[in-house]
Amino acid sequence: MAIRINLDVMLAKRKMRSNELAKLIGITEQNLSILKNGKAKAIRLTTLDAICEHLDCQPGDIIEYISKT
Amino acid sequence: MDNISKIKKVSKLFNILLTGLMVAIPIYFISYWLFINSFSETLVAGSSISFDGAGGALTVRLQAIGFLSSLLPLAAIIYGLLNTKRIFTLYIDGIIFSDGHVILFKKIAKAFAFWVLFSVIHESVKSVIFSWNNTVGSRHLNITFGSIEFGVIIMSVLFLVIAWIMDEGRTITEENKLTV
Repeated sequence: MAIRINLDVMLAKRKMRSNELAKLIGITEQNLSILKNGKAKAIRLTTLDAICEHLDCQPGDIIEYISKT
Repeated sequence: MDNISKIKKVSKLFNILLTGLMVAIPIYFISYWLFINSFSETLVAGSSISFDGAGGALTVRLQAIGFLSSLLPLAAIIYGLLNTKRIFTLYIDGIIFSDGHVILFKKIAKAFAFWVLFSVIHESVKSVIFSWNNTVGSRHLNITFGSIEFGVIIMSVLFLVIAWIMDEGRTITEENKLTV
């Protein structure tokens, strides 16, 4: 897929652990791991909103489009 | 008892029933051709094949040919039963919805289609065998495609449609699972 998830980068920048963020945004660690590893098929706007709120970032900091060409 | 336990219990029952059928049906086919000369003509041939009275007992060779031709529809039946049994085995294992089910449903549809084809061949061979002892000019080859065959073809198509819908459902479930 041409969409890259940079959640691990943002977590490192904010010095936050995955389980900590999962608790804050109210999803399971397993689901956060699916998102982090780029296995997710879709992301809810509410989840994105919560991630941006707690990591103090923009959606573009987490989701990046990589051109195939 | 929760839903899964109920499914497992019923599936175990059907699994045993299907195993029984997988043994009983070949026995029926073997017995049919082995003791064919002991049955009355109407019981053996039904109403589709006429005897002119000159016939007699089938020779061992004709019985063997009849039995060999019956192996074709028998193989299709066993293939269908085997795959149905596999579906119930998945249910027993607690797997209710998987791509395995889709593949098995497609295989059952294939078994129905094969049965129709092989059944037409077998019935044609049977018509020749049963009229073999008739006087020259009264022997015949009947190729029939009746309502039963048509019904089974419809069943085959229905199973294919169900398999397709199940596959779509599985994709939706997978997408929902991977929505964060």
